[in-house]
Amino acid sequence: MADIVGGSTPSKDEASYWEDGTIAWATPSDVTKLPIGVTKINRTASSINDKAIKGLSLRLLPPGSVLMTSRATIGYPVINLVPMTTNQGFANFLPSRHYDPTFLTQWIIYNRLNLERLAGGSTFLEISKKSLKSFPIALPPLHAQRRIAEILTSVDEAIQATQAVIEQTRKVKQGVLKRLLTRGIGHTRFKLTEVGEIPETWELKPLGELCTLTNGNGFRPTEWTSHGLPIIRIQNLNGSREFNYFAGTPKDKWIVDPGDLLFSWAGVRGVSFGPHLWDGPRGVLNQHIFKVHSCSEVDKFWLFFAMTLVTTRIESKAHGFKASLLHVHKSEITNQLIAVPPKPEQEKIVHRLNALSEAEQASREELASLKETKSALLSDLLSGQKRVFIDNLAAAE
Amino acid sequence: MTVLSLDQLEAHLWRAADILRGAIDASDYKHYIFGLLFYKRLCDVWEEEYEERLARYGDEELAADPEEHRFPIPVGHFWKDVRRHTTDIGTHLNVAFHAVEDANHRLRGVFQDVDFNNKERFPDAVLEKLLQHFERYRLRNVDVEPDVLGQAYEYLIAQFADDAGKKGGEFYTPKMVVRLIVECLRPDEGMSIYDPTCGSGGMLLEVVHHLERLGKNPKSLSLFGQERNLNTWAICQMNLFLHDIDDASVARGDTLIDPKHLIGEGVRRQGVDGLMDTLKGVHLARGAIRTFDRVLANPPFSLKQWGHDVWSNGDPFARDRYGCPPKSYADLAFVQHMIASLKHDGMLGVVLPHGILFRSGAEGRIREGMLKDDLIEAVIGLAPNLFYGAGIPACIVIIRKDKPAERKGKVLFVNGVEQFVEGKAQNHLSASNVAVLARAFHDYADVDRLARVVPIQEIATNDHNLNISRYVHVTEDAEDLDVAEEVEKLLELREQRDTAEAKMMGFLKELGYVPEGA
Repeated sequence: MADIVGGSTPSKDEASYWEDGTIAWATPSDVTKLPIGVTKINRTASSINDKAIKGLSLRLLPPGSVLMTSRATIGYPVINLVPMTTNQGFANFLPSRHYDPTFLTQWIIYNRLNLERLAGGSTFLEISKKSLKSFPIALPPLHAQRRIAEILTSVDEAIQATQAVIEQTRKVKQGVLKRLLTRGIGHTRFKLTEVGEIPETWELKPLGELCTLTNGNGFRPTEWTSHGLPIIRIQNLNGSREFNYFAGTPKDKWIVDPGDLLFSWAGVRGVSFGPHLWDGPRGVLNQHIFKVHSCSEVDKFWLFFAMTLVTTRIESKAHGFKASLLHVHKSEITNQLIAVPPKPEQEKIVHRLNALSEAEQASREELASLKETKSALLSDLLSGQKRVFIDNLAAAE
Repeated sequence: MTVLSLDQLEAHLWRAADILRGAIDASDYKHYIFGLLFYKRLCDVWEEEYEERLARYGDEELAADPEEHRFPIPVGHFWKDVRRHTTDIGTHLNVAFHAVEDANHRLRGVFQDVDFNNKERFPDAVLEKLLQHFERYRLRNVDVEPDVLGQAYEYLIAQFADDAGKKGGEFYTPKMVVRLIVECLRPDEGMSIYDPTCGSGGMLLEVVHHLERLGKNPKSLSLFGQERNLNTWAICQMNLFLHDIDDASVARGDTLIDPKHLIGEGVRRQGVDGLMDTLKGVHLARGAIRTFDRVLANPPFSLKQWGHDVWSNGDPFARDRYGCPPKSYADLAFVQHMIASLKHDGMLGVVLPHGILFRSGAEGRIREGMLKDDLIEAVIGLAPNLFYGAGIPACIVIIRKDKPAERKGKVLFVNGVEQFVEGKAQNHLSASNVAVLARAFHDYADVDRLARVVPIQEIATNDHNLNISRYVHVTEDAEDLDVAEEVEKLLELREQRDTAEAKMMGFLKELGYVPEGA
């Protein structure tokens, strides 16, 4: 069907291969770091020069080739928009009059699992050019390929556009959060405080006066069982529903009910570190997580948002074992100064922020359904069993 | 004969290690190779001097006179003498080593751990091969730059630090980190320089190189060091010797328990001094700590079993001015030793783990004391993963007892977390990274995302926490998000999504997937 060529890596010690490199040279990470649904590439992290091409007799792939990862991560395709070379982690399909490149990328995505099954290798999976060449492909006429590619691309584009909407909604939410929590709703008079300007009627209080924090318990592996109350660990705060269980008699202060406010004081920056509203089942709290008991003058949901805001502040000043992993003392949380509005205003603020959260959630659900649509369509259009469809389309053109 | 290049010498030493592979632990190669190389070099240089004298005087006896040589090698213990033997080579090597040590006061102990007299480990065949290998290059002064050979030493230390992993890393500070400290301290002609944990002497040598680079006379420096590890100390002695530094004083011993560079030993018995001591509350029973113009060090990070039991009852040398550090963190004990070793107008630079910047308890109190005395001039944070076998981030603290007037009451924070070149196993500092950080220190001014001059009062309100990221932010701040602008972008993106979805729905309709009227 097409000529398949590999690539290779010029020696890193040989500086003369890399100096003034003008020719794009792709590695699998150039491909895997592309956002989901993007299947075109016009730049790579490294570049090589003419000397390297000659020295290694590397094949320069003309634009419109299909570069497919064939080592370790298998079956991630991209179409190059500029002339490009690759390292040995690729099988590259040269342009051919038999196939449409976009159709081929969709076909590869659809067949990723089958391709993985085809791969061998002991240290990491690798698919050989030979077995790839013998892999059967149901290839409709070129005009039908183009049509199918166009349809599938339209879904990919909808997915990307929705993803962008979600990210931007989050960004807006952050901005609105900060604004509502520092300027409130409808204020005209402000006063200057340690945390900047806040409405005159608000009070500045350390977080420790708005709530009490109680630590979870260090459950030892010997206490883990397969029944009882789930032990809520940091990974569960990120949505994991894999639990260890505790069958003993829990102390009251370990108990977490759905909707409780928690604060993970050790964890990954921007991911698990910070406040969480527990959305899982009743369970017991593991160590490194505080249960937050808000006082009566404070709305729990407002406190959640207020803690989100101070988390960025804590994160920027916290020390960690590694750049990404944070670990703070209790006082670094309770000493944080918070601008506290009267409770009715807290509730209004929560109402507004929830509207944004719901919008984000709606987009997320939409994204999930688009992804399902895509995989169903892939199967319908590429299985080769929907010939009728394709013929109809071809006739319609 | 052409001058031996650095590359050739490195390859030569590496192949010597190949010969020893399997016979002894990789971490021990360097002692043996260094020992042998050093001995060979001594012999070659002596012969060079001898031939030169012989040509000048035409008298063999005079040419061999010890007065005519920088150092003596006893008769019968030259390289060529050892090579006469084909059996018991190890014994003869050992004997020669000891003879050289005995004849040279400065070299006493350097061969202590180099024992070739073990036929199980070093059969004659292996030693024959090894000695033959070493004979491939003559190591006279005309054959090698004195400096090139020392550089190769450092290269090998680096290689073996790599090889031996964490253990090796204990005594090897990356060259560019050393250079950064030296660039900050700006040592000059005539100064006394001291490294209390000098390892193989890399920091002292870098000071020498620094002066050479500036075209100044490094011989005018007085160099002092102390090192606890016997092997490392021996390597340091040889290293200094190979760099043609004859007058460095590097003592052996535990700096925290048994500091070797003292003054006024026994002065306590004299009336006036004794009275002064009593007035100052200083115990001079074992002499006082000697002071220097520049003190620099990379002490082992968070050393355990460092002598807490002694210090907790009061350091006999009164170095615990700001308190006794915790049991398992010696870092601030070294720092206080260095402060005690610093002249009033001197300057010190020390590599430390980040922990000492923010840990509370005893270390918090020591930090507070140092800040109140206005000793800390700058804290320079380094990028992660620059050190062999230690991924934890390190920093350089610069201390002066008498800061320039405009720096008094202030601490400069430099956040170097973005200043590095990515490497496979380790990150590195490039020459330009070093230049950026050193300039930030000397400019002593605010630079966005890099440096900030912070008044000591502000640090006090932060519980005397010196954590760098607290003062110099490099992470993106969500602070200045313009909501209106972001909402505008959101509306645009939603529109794009609607268009994309409409197009998709058009196709799906054509395919008959969408019910009529939807």
